[in-house]
Amino acid sequence: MIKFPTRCPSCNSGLVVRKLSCDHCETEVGGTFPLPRLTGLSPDDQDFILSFVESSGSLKEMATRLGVSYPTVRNRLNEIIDTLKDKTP
Amino acid sequence: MTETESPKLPRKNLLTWLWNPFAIIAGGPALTSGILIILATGYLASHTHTHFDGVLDTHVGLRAPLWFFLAEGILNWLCLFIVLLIGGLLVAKRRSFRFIDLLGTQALARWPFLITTLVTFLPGFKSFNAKLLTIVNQGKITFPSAPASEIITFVFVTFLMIVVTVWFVALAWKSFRISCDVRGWKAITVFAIGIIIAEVLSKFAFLFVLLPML
Repeated sequence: MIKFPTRCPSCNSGLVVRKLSCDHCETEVGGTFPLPRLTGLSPDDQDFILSFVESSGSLKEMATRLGVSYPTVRNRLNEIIDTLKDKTP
Repeated sequence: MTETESPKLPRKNLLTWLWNPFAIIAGGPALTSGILIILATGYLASHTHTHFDGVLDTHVGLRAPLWFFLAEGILNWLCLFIVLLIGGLLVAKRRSFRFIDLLGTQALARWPFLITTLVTFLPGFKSFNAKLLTIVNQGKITFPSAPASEIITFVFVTFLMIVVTVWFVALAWKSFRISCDVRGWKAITVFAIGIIIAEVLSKFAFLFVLLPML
């Protein structure tokens, strides 16, 4: 899987989207679009958030599905919340 | 934003079950199995007169009815739970953790003491311990004469008791860390102080509540 770049490899500043294009009709849209906050998370964390949403936000259901304890899932979510808070400008 | 790496979810293998079981089990299931293990430990301990007369203590000798052995296990469990609950509320970043997780995992953290109780059934240990108690009760300070097999068994069981106590402390810490979502030196310090307070508390409860009821 190709890693989605979020930082500039040269100066390490946050990247923004300059151009979007339609694969169907090849229309291109230019501008300065900031990346969604969730893209700053690791792929594992993004998968976790996706799984959380798919479980209707039920940590209990997620814990059962993943075969781990409730506090393990809750602590992982807490870590992600902290990461997102740290990244808030 | 930088990409961050967070630890992956634990794998279900023997090492996890022995060293970090609360990553897999907590809450109601941990509470149920923990209580059953505490009661089973108390029941078996009543046959070998093994006392857990303090959160970290194991002594063999005093004869007592079954309820006394069961009460010891429950008392130790609740003493440490109450102290760590207060500690968790003091240091946890989020106080919204579930009490049942701490209660259940603390009960299950006592399972290594079941091993201690089982090894006290070894015949060599029982007979050497009886000889040792006789000498102590006579007020003497001499080494009892016994076959080498009894001495080796006694040394083995004593060593195992120390290992089990260390293992229990490690499990109690994991229970506290996972249930209350605490980490770092502040949490370790609170845990270390907490276990000492719980030890003193359980000793007082043993001496001034349980023993007078005998």
